[in-house]
Amino acid sequence: MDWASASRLVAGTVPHPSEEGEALPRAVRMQARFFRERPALYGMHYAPESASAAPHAIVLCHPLGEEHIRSHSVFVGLAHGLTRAGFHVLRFDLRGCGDSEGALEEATLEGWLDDALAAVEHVKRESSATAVSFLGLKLGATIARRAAARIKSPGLILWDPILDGRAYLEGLRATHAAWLRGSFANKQADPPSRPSGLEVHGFVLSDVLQRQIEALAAADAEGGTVAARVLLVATADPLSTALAEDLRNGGAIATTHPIEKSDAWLKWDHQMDRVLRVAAIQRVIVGWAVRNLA
Amino acid sequence: MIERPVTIPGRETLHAILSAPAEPTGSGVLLLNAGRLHRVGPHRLYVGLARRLATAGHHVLRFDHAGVGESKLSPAQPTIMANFLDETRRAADLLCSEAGCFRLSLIGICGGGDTAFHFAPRDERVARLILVNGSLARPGEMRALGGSASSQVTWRYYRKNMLSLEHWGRLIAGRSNRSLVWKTLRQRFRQATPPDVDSSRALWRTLLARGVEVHLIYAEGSMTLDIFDTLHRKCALAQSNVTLDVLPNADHTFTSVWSQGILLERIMSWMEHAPPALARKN
Repeated sequence: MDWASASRLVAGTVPHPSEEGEALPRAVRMQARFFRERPALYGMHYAPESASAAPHAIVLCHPLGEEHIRSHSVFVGLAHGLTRAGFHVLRFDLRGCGDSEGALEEATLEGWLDDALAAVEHVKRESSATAVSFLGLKLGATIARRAAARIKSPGLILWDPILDGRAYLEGLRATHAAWLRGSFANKQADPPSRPSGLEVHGFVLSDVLQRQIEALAAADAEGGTVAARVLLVATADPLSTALAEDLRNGGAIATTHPIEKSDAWLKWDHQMDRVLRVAAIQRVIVGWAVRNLA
Repeated sequence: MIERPVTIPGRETLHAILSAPAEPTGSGVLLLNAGRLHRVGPHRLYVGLARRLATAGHHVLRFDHAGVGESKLSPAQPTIMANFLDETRRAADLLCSEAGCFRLSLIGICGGGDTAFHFAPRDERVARLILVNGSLARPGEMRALGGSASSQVTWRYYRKNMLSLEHWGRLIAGRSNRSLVWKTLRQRFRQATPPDVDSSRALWRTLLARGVEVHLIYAEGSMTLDIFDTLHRKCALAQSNVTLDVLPNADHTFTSVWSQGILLERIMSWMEHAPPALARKN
């Protein structure tokens, strides 16, 4: 497989997930809008061409900063895959990210939770969906989890969630420092401007957001049931095991899918590997959604 | 300033964001995809740039080429560049009708700079180009020069760090990539493929004859600077309509936040002071 074919695999040609071999794919209609005001949020609504009697929508929550940019094509591919499987999908940008208003420096987890809840209202208006589930990657999984708990979602997909906020930030700091050591930028002894906050991979996280991320842990739920059914796509380690246990104790039917530990969202190394691994995970996610949420 | 999503019609719909100024000046700016990155650009630079330009009175359109971001892949032309040029023309049509302008500015980082450079001679609406870290090479030239340019930029990095005790310490302790060091040294003294000077000169003369103002910006840490040096520097800088700005210590995608600030300042300053792109319809 060459690079272009591999990219297409991720960006738009996710094979149909059904293991039972249902006849698909369905056509996809796309509608972009800014919704809510101050800050206005950018969202792309993907609708299946053939309407369902009881539409089910899935809201996608993206990760942070550079991880967001590098996972963008993956989210586009996921949106197409889920829509072809019959779901309405809203892919949107949190405030201070992507095409939405605001600056990342002003973002907080509370603000992003508000954004996710506004996304629910938006996709309900656009699709007449009676049920809304969530999917989140990395920090997006944190937002998705909290939003799902707030609206009592029928479904939640947590992809590589942050289970140890302190370790996550340390990882970002370390990879940024390693990049800087080998970069021309290491000779800029006295930058003309120095942002307040943490600079990582081209973005700045405010002190408030850093503290909030540092506090993230596997037992981050607001308590009670997070969602009726949960797919946890994560490395098989004690933290993810604890999270799965926590979800089950909260009443969820939790399925786990183990993945390799990777910082693929921050590095271009081993691109082909990343593309193939991601394509496989996409198939798992769409397949789970079809079997559990449709 | 108001932003709204727009679609660019054609064989496959292209998705875009239009930033419209509160007080339009009749100027339109197209931001072209930086390689495979979607329309927000590296480190979301295009979003901030579009908003600043719109606040200064420009209509700005940033869109996704087919196969990038939200725009579905549907190759209509035999090569990627031919597709990009066709899609840029469609985007320019939309921007001109939205902004009510007849002349355009094109801005692109990396691959976006290349698209802008190759599009400009083909479309008389283009009045200004800001090419940021564009290799400005054709595919064959890129293949021929990529290896030596990569070694050139590594060599430049070594030269900058020649007095760094930390770097020498890493080399002696075996924590440096020694094979890269030797490869760079070997390549450094190898003869590079000679550029096609006639073709380069013709391109730059076409832009001059069209009255296109060109501002080139390169990061010191980008190997596209070395490709530009080999292919175009002499011919480009001989023209009165071309200016060059090299940003020290910046890397190819302007990862450091201070370098992003400088880049935006330089672009805004040039857009403000360059001859206006508002000439009457040709």
